[in-house]
Amino acid sequence: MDDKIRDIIGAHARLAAPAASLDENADLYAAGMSSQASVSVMLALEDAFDIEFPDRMLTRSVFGSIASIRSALVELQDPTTV
Amino acid sequence: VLSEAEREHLATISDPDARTQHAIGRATIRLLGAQASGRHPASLAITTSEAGKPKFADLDGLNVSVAHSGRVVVVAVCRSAAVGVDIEPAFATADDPRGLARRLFAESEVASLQDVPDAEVAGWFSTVWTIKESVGKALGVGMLPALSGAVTARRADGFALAAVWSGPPAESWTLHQLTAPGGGEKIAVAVPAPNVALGPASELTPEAFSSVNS
Repeated sequence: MDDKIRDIIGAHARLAAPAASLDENADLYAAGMSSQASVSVMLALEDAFDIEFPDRMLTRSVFGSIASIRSALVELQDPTTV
Repeated sequence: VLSEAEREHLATISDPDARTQHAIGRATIRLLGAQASGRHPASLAITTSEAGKPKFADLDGLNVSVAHSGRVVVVAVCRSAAVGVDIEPAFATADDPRGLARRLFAESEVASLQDVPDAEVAGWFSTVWTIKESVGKALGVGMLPALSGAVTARRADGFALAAVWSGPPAESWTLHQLTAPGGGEKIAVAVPAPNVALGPASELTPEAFSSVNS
């Protein structure tokens, strides 16, 4: 899952640094991700993982790091939380 | 001008452009807060919300919002109510603004997009985006909830808010739309209160920053 998240960040977050070298807790906004880029990341994640982020997850912190994106995806993919 | 905590935070921002813009934004907030309060800029306490919005911790009633576009840093200060500001390039930053709008924006906005010529789609997208983001920032929640929650409508004299999912009803908001000199970036300022006039802009030169450095 992490590789797929990193690929999407690399393609859509428009960061100066390569996504492969990012720490999983690194702040993506501090790495240069704009609000428009964060929405592109969100849409690409929805397509790639065939999920839809509910309104409660549409927060800056959910898309703020690789680790926070992963926890949101894990929660959305777990049928017991749906 | 900046506090020690701000300088430490700056050191954690890995992207040099983001670091510079953040530094200029924070310094500008402090200078404007100092102008409004008569205090020294470095003495002002500023906190940051979970959504990234700065707040003067000990200046009651003085609200602030900051946005960067890469070339321009814009700061809005409002005494009477919350405020949100956003700036976006006038050119297309998305590969497919029509497709993105269909996916992200409200049905009424997508319907109105049918009448927008291709040459104007990028400007339309940036304008609608800035309005939504300025509303999200005024409410302190950021852009994502505002994508579908703040709905714009095109009027003869520009764009207005047709619906807002939170805060006061759309007709009670004040919306200002500006264009940045030089690069044509779209700027929106949103205030959840009616009839809030836009004051004259303060242009802060490099001298203004150096004069308070001591």
